[in-house]
Parts: sequence; C-alpha cells; structure tokens
Amino acid sequence: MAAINSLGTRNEQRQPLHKFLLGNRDLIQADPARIVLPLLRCLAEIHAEGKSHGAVCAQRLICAPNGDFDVALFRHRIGWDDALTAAETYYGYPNGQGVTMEEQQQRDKQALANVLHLLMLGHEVPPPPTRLNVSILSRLGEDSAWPQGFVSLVEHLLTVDGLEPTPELDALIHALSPPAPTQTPPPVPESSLPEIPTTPAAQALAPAPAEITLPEEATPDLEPPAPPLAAELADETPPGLPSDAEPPPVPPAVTSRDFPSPPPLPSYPVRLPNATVGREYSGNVLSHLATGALTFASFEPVSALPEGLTTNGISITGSPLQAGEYEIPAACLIQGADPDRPDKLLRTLQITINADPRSLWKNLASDTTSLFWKPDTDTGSLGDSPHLVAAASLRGRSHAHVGSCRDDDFSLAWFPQSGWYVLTVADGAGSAKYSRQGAKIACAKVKEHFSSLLGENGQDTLTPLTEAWAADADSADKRQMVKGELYNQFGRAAYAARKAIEDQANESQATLRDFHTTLIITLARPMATGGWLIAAFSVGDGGAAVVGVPDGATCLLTQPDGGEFAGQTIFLTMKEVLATGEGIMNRIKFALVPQFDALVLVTDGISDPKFNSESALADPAEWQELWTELQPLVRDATTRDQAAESLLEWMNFFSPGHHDDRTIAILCETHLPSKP
Amino acid sequence: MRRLPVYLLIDTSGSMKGEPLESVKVGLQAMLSGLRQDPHALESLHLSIITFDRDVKVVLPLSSLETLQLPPIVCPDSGPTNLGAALEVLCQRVDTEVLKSQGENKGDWKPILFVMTDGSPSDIMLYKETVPQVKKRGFASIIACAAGPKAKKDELLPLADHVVTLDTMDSGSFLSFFRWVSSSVAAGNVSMGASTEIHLPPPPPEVNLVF
Repeated sequence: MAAINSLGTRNEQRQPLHKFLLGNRDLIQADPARIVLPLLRCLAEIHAEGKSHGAVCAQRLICAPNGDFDVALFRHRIGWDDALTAAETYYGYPNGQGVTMEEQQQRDKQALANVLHLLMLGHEVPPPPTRLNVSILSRLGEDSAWPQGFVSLVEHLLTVDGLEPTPELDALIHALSPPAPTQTPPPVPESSLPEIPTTPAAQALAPAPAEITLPEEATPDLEPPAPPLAAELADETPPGLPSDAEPPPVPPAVTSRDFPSPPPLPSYPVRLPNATVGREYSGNVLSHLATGALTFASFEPVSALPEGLTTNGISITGSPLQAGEYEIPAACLIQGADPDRPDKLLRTLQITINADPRSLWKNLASDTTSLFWKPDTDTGSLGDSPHLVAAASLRGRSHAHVGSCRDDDFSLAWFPQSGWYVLTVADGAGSAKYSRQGAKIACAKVKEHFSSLLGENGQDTLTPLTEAWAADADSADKRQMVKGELYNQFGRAAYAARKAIEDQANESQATLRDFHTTLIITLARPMATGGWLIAAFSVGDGGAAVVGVPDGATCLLTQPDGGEFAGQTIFLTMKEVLATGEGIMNRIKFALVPQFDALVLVTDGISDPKFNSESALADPAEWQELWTELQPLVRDATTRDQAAESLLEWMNFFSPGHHDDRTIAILCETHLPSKP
Repeated sequence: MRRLPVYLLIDTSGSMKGEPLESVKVGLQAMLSGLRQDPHALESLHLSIITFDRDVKVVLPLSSLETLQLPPIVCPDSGPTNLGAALEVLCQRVDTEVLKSQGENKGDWKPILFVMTDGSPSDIMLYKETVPQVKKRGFASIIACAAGPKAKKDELLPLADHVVTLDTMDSGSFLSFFRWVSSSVAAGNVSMGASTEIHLPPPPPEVNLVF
C-alpha cells in the first residue's frame, strides 16, 4: 500500500476535479489542451483498466502550481515514472457509485461531462432532451440544459486512441480556448442564471454524483481553497438577462476571481460560403476557421475536395462540377502555435454546392390528351407577302418543367386586296387553366375580323381614311378620322375575340377567368406616299415596336399594363378592359412613318428578359439592340420558313428567372422569294 | 432579375423550447434542401426568417436561396408570443426589402408569407391592429401554421389566406410542413400573371388544411 501512502502525503496537491477546474478557470482558458487532454487520458486509462473512478479523478489527479495537469507529472511526482504501469498508477482509486462497473464508469463520464459542461456554461445550450441528474446541475436549476450528447461526447473522447485531435476534442478545446480581449465582468452580478428553480424536487431527482457525495473532509487541507461554486456560477451569468430573475439558489459568496466569459462555442463544423456548379468559386477558408483568438496559418484537406475545387492551403477555388452537401475534414495549422500544444486542429469544412439551375429544368412533353392541347412550339410565316412576316412561339421552361402546355399564341395575315398586314400575339395567363385556348381564340378572332374588313369582299373603311391622312399628314381632322376608325376596328376585333372566348367558356362550363389572355394587335400598310401607317392595340404586358424609324422617336406601340409587382398585368378577358370608350382609345397607338427596319411584337417571355424596366421598353435604342440580334437570323435564312425556325431557335436563350412562354412576330423587308 | 421574396415568421416562445424548435430547425434544413432542387427557386427565391418571442429578431434578412445559410435559431426558456410585434417588423422589412416596379426598377414577384406558431398572440391588441397593415403589403399568399394542441387557429384566420394545423409538434410533422412549404413555393408564383393566390399543393397527412 505504498502507493496509497505516497498519494496521501500529497493531499495538499489534490482537490476535487470540478473545484480545481472551476477555481483555475483562467488556467484552463489559457491552455485548455494542457488540462483537458491529460484529464481525458487519465480517465481513459482508468477505464481501460476495467475500473471506474468514483471521484472522477477528483481526489487523485494532481496539478502543479502552474496549472500543469498531467499524467507524466503525476507519475513523476510519485517517483515511479519508469516502473509504474497504468494499473499501478491508478491503484486504490475509489470506485464510483453504481451496481455494475459499467454503471460506475458511466457515472464517471457523466460527472466529467458535468465538469466540462460547467466550464462551458454560458455557451450555446441546446434544449434538454435528457436532464443531467447530477447535483451540481440540479443546484443550477432543473431547467439548466444538458448539452445534447455531452456524455456521448465524453465517451467518444475517452475511447479515442492516441488522443489525436478529433473533431469532438477539437471543438471542446476550442470552446475552452481563451477569448480575444479579456473583459472585466461587472463587479456585482445583477442576477444569476435564469429560471433557477428552488424546488427541492430537483435535488431529489438525482442520485448524488460521486464528486458531490464525497465528503469534503476527504480533502480537508485544500490548498488553495476552491472558490464556492455559486460565486463561480454567478460570474458566468451572461449579460442582458432580465434583472428580475430568480436569485441564486446558493447565497452569493464573495467572488474571488473575475473570469473572462468564455468565447461562444464555435459553430462547428465550419461552414463555407455556398458554391454553385459551373460557377467560379473562391472562398477564403482561414477567415472562416478563425474564432476568437485562435487563427490558422493554413489548412490541409484530409479527404478529397469536391470535384472541380482546389486549394492552396488558404482558400478554396475552382468551378465545382457536382451539386451536393459536402463535408471535408481538414487539418488546420494554428497560427503561432505553442510548441507544447497540438499545432494542428481538425475541422470539418462544410460547403453547399448548388446545382446549376439550368441542369435542373426538366423538359416534359405536354399531355396531348389534355383539353385544348397545343404543340409545345409553333412557327409561321406568310408565303406570298411582299415583306417577310414570320413568327415563332416557344413553350417556357416553367411549363416544360411540369409538362404543362404553352399558353402563348400568334396569328399572321396579309391581305393582297388592301395591302394590310395584321400581326397578333397573345399570352395566356399562367394562372388560368385554359388560357392557352383563350390566347388561341383571341389571335384567330382578330385575324378573322380584319379579314372580313380588309380581305376579299371586305368593306374596307380603313384604307381610304389612312390614305387620305397619309397624303395630308398635317391634317388634324384626317388624323382624327383615322383614329376614330382604328377605334372602331380594334374595338370590334377585341370584342369579337372576347365574345368568342366567352362562348368557349360557356361551352366548356368554365369561367372567363380560366381563359385569361393578353393581346397585342398591330396593323401595317405601305401608303401611296411611300411611307407606312402602323397602328397597334394592346391589353396586358409584352410589347410591340417599330424599329429603325429615321426620326428616332417613334418606337413603342404599346403601353404595357404592368402592376407594382412582377407578373401582374391585366387581360382582355377582364370586364373593365373594354368597358369604356376612353379605355379602349388609350390602348391604341398609331403613326405614319417614312420607313422602318422592322415591326416587332413580343410577349413578356421576351420583353421581361430583354428589357430591364418599363423605361427600357420605351427606349428606341433598346429595341434597336434587340433587332440587331434578330436581324441576322432573318437575313441569313434561305426560306421564309427557315426565318421563323431561326427565331424559334433564338428564343431558347437562357435568362435566369425568366422562363415564361416566348412568342415573337416580325415584319421586315426581305430578299426571300415567296413560298410556292 | 425578378426575385420571389418569401418571409418565414417562426414562433420561438418558451413553449417551442426543446424538441419543437429542434424539429423546426430540421424542417427548415429539409425545406432548403428541397428548394435547392427547384430551378425556379434557385434562380428567384429570396428567403427571410423572422423569429418572435418576447423579442422579434430578423435572424435572416432577405437573402437569395443560392447564397443563404440557415442562421442559428434559439429560444428563451419562457416568454410571450409577440406575433403582433413580429408583424410590425415584417411590414417594415417588406417596405424596405421588396422592390416594386417603378420607372427604372423592375418589381419583385409578390411576396409570400408563412407564419408558424404554437400558441396565440400575446400582444393581441397590436396583432389585431397590424393584420390590416400586413394585408396592404400585397402578399400573393399568407399561410399560417397552427402547430400543436395549444395553437389557436381561429386567431390566425383574419391574417392568413390559408391556415393549416399540425396535431403534434414532433419532427415528422414539422418536416412534412416545411416540405409542403417548399413545394408550395416551388409551385406558386411561377408565371402567376394576375392571379391573386398561389396554388397550394395538397398538404401531406400531418398537415391539416383549415377551410
């Protein structure tokens, strides 16, 4: 029993572990690794011997006056450094409470966890799925949270071989590491921990833990005496607590020491900024690793980085290839590491790599059996007109993604008898279930109406009035006559379209709302004077413009009906739209132009991505830019159909956030021969 | 670039402490993962999270789905459910964060609001005063979730276009709820046109739609 006696002579060196740790908190914070590692090693060795340590090392572990707390030192002081086995070293330690060894060891772990928890109190505290059934905590209060998995953390720490840095140990040491500037806490804490119940039931809940039940007399000669627990705890009270909190359960004792409040538990693992597949990424890892006073000189990934990313030990750069949530363990070299401390800590770098949105869009065919189905794309061109008239309509990605139908539509007409062109586009509302049919009917009805007016056997009232005005362009009266007739004809066309949609709605036992559609009609005709008359009527968003007019001013033919939020507009199928004459008149724009490059109609699937604002939509330069993009497509086409196909192909352009149906119709000069 | 702003108001009053809040966090994470699979959301969705208990905290200012990371969400041990105060903060945030079409500016999509509470507003007067203010903010849809047996769904009816209830506050329920939020957001507002409501997908069994 020499060992016991030897230990007994060194009683002045011993104190219960929790008291030591609390009383020397500054030492711990100065160098947590030096304290925590040997402590864990001691307990691990004891357990490896098949024993428990009822005092959780409290009575027997020895610390040097400088705070060194160390198995080697212990052995050295015992004087048996070379000869002593672990079994001998730990011989005679009292067993813990519990019937089985397993229970006793578990109690050890709980108590150690308890001690560590106390050190970290004031950090982020998860809710208590299990309450710590130990007196210290019950003195703190029943509601004091027992960090989730804390016992298992200790369990893990005790079973790690070689005490290499592990994420858990690393996190723990990190949590205990010194804060950057030492703040002096208020001399008298205003309050204690929140919500401290004084119920004795809390005490009754728990079997008393080893370190508490051990009589204080066992270490009567504590040197220096450990500061009372309550005082320590009061110091840990986070600032900003309501001042009416419960008083401390234990009368406040003299605060013997002002401890800097510990740094917050690092959000562990370390999360880096998100990346996106196919996009250049650059993230400085070191700046994300740094917490408190702890900074890092470099890091080295332990496993492979996500494909496409590389590192120079400081940052991660590259263009990732694969979306996902990644966790990359990395050995991180501490800046200015103390030679006595581990110079590397293990961190887990977390990074979210978003998919490239383009890769996520599905292209599901629409259901050909659905009511009012229409093909996902459509093109058209006029075969025999002197000018090229071509159009294309493409189902938007938002529809393709869910396999729904294209809602847009168009119609084209040229009437050789009168020389008028009529181009129409319509955009069915995405939120209306049969809007595709509404748009289709609208376009067809407009064509039908103008055919009866301007086509064969038509009672063409428009041509004489417009020719008269063209010949005497300064005449306000003649202009007024044209305006009146445009009002009549556009109004009738719009009414006819709406009536037809209403009939369709009744027939399908649906409401007009289910067929919501916008409508843009343009009329164009070369005049005897050599100039053109261009006129337009519109309801809703999208736009039509005449591009390349020499005066540089005439451009936008429509006034888009936008709301304050994106996607808000009005529809032909709304009651109020055609309710007043003035309302209809305001939707009409017309002009005589000496010449122009192109007449262009687009639905909002094109105007939204191509024009940044309503101001841009009214800017001739912006339309000119659009035409510059389009013009080669029609110029390089070898047939009129091919011109339309080229437009369709062009419309597949990608613009983030803009995936509505797209429809375009154009009128311009052409070298292309008439279709057979 | 038109953004789709989505606001989440989350009850962090004392009664949420513990498993309920942990479940909410798991649910939020699942929601984000789900949304990241949706190309429309990934391009357009901007999310803000506001928690309310005694205090109202904007734990996540409106941020794009692409860049955002879930903030830590904590719960006090106890405290009232100041939903009214939260709605006040919400109105301020919407006024400053959500863009409207004007001249050079292109407007955002109409915002969407989700409110989740396990109780009833403690600041009932303020709540009642603020509801009409919220209604003026042009939300495409306001969806309220009354979680658990103590939640008063009747209090939420004046605020929300849709009220859903969760019978229990376990992780399964919250997971279902947030997955449903995710699919609601993904389905909604895609070329909405003038529609005043988003089309909600059918809720999962754990989520009961109140009519």
